[in-house]
Amino acid sequence: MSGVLEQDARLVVMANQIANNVPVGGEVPQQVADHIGKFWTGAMRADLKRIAEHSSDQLRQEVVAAVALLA
Amino acid sequence: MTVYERDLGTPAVSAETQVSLTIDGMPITVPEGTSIMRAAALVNAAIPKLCATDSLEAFGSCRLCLVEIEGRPGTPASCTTPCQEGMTVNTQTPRLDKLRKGVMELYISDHPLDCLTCSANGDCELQDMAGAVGLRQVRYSDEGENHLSAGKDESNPYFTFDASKCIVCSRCVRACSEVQGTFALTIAGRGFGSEVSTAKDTDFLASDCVSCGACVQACPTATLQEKSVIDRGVPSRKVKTTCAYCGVGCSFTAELRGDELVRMVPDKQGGANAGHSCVKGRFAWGYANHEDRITEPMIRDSIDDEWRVVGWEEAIQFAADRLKKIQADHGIDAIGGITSSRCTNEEVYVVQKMVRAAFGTNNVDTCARVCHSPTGYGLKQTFGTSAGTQDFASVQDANAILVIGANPTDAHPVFGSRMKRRLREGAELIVIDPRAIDLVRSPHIGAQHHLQLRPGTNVAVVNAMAHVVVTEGWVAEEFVSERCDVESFRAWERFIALPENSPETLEETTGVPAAAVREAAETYAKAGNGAIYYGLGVTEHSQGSTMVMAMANLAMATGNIGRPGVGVNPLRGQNNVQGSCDMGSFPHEFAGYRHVSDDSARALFDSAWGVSLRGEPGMRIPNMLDAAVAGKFRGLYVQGEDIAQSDPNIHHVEAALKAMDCVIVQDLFLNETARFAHIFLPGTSFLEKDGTFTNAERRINRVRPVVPPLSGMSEWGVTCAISEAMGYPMPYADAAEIMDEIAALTPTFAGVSFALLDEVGSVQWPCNGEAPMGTPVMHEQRFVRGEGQFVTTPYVPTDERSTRRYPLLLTTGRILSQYNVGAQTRRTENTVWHAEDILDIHAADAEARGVADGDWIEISSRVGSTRMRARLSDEIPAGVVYTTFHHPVSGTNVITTDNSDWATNCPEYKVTAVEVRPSMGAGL
Repeated sequence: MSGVLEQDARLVVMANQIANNVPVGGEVPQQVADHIGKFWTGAMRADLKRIAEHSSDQLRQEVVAAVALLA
Repeated sequence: MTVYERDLGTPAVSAETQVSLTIDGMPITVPEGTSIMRAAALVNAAIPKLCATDSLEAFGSCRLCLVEIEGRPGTPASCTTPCQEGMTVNTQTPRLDKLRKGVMELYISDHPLDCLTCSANGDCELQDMAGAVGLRQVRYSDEGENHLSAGKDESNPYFTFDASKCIVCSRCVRACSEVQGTFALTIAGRGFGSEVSTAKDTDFLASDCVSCGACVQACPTATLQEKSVIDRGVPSRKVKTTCAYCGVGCSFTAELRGDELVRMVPDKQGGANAGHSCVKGRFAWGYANHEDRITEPMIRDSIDDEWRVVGWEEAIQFAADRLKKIQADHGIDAIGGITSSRCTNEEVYVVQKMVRAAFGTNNVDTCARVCHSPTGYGLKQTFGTSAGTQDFASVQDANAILVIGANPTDAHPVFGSRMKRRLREGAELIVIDPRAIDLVRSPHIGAQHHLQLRPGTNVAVVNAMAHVVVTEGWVAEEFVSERCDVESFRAWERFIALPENSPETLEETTGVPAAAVREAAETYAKAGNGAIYYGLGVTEHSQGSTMVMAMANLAMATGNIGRPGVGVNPLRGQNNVQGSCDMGSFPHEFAGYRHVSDDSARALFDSAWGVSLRGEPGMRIPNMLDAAVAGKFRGLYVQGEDIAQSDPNIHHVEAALKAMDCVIVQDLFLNETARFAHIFLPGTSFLEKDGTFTNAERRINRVRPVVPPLSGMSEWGVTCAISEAMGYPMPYADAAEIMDEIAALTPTFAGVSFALLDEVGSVQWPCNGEAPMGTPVMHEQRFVRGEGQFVTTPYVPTDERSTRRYPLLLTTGRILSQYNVGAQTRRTENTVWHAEDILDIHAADAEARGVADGDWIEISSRVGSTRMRARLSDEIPAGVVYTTFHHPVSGTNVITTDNSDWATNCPEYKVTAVEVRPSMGAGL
């Protein structure tokens, strides 16, 4: 696996893991978007958007919805 | 010149009632219960003593401290006789002189008269007391029975036991019991045959002795003596400073002859350690002058080239040129830095400032990423700030102590001893750990509850405890309604009361019997004062942050926050984990935990630093490594951390480092990471540093230079020089000036200065206008965030599970004698206790694999394999194996995976699915 693909795979794992672990009770996509907005770099967010556009099947639905909320 | 502390003979007493008395005509008022000996010392009427010292309870055996009390018959021992109202005491009378002289004569009659050549000459209380009582002759011949030919025990690498010089005062035995809590020593025999012995009648090295040195410190003669003193002579000057090992942050007096360190003596006034130490802090400082130290800068074009020794100017320019070229070719964000929890606040602060202001990026992270970053996240969400709630002394007021994923007696030994003392006094103990750590059962201590859970199920267990608290009606309703966000509490209450969180439902998942969980929950909830202490067994999980919040929920629900004896307390792994986080080392936060997107905070730093800072987070360490493998991140400044040994999935780390164009390592030694470095900048040991460390209880302690830097430059000076070469000067005159800037920009440090620390010793942040002398206990009136926030914490199993191919779960940890990756302790005599990493395996698992005790084994995970010896152990359950990560040869992190905490990317070191097979030897 190339370095870029490896990095993409890591971002997918991280994003899905966030969606799977945010506290219950709130809107998951919003919580995921807030978390990623607070802790991820702009480049990582851009990569996630790219992944969501071309390989959304790798992402949980809540992550795909969260990407739409990212600034 | 004497360098020794005044000894008041017996410990201080705290009592509301005061009593007034007269000693040798001098009036004094003391707390009721104070000994006559201590009161006399306070009026400078020091009474001769041998078996008494103010770090130990009075014993009354040496019969030297006799006094006369008007109106009372006899001559009672002043150490065991408490002061009473109206008492008139005489410490110097002809009768007392005669008695003391007679006692001393008997002692000396069975003691070698080799004072001039004795290693304790000038530092011997027996010698001092002989002088104090005016002993001029010994009438008894040495032809009678005596102990003068008793042998020496030199088995311990750091101290000797010379029985011929022992006066059997029991100070060593009592220090081992009262202060350290190990009970390794005893008095064997009776009467004239009495002698100090290890409890197992072995030599010191083979005994239960943990080499804390409390016995050596307590010994009034040369019986127990540091080998460094025997070799180098008694010290002639001293410097107070702070230990550079674990997060306890013990204060020490470094005692020297000239510029040669003779010994480290724990400081009685030390707020964290109160005069105690462990084997690392007291003895394991030899690495500072080890032959492996690199003291000159080195550079090389490629990691395949040999190192070239250069001057500081060339090395710094080389580094700056490379970093600038990378940014020109690949963008501003193609470089970054990592700060170290082994460095001072001032050193850390300037590195993160250089990255943000000179590099122009927020790509700065710290080694706390791989240990306590979930603490930062979890406690900020719930309480409002990333900090333990208590001071260490608080444990003395705890009635129930909940230890989760921590092993204080090994990893935080001085606090462990303090905790043991409280447990011996009767506090109840709950241990949540897959391993039966020392606290579960050791002399005079036994855990009332040991919840031996499966690795990776922390959240399930604590949720189950909280479920019991809520459903049994044990919630501290008044505390919750007055101090917490009630809406969040109600949401959490509904969540935690769900059947899915009951101990019965979770029993199969956690492996912990439901009844045991219920009993532990009741103990904690009904204790009155329940205190939680936790370590990396909490944080280094895929749900590390969730677990921190789950513990905070439990503490708030039971009202165990905001006073002595309670709290949620992270036991920080390294000496300055707290400080490195406080100083703005995380990529999303400035100093004082203010997010980089906070316009007002950024404006403050913009103005002070004269730059325009970026408002979005930078990369964390794992993000940097991933980006490096992808070719996007190409330059890294690594301050005092060995990521090629300490970080998980070493193969991935090495691939990332190899892919970079410029790796700068600032360290004492050519560590594993330096194999991939282009620039090596020699660092300074703690003995050469000038600055501050902040320990796990938020205590800011001074680190004072004991000797000059071997490299000729301070570490912060090197960082500033690189920054200047990058085009951003940081012209500090000294470390104090850096702290002044920290204080000016960080509200919780606003009152901190070197001058204050030199005056009062230490302070715990917040230290500012509201709390000029610091804050021992946080959240007393209100939480930092206002109201305590409950957060729902669903248990989500880790993806790392045992499988048919990898059926065992590996968990890792530290042992007492070694420290983290071992860069320091492996270069000391501590290797006598732990020369290699060893795999602990349950007998049933070993038998099933044909592995015997001491056999070489190969341990494999889905990311790698390594070899080490096996030890059969009943401290772990079947299905779990355990090892340490102190040695690069075995390289435990070759097999740990890149699974990490969902919120912070803290690696999941504590759960790795593995298989173990017999192996022919160490070679792969």
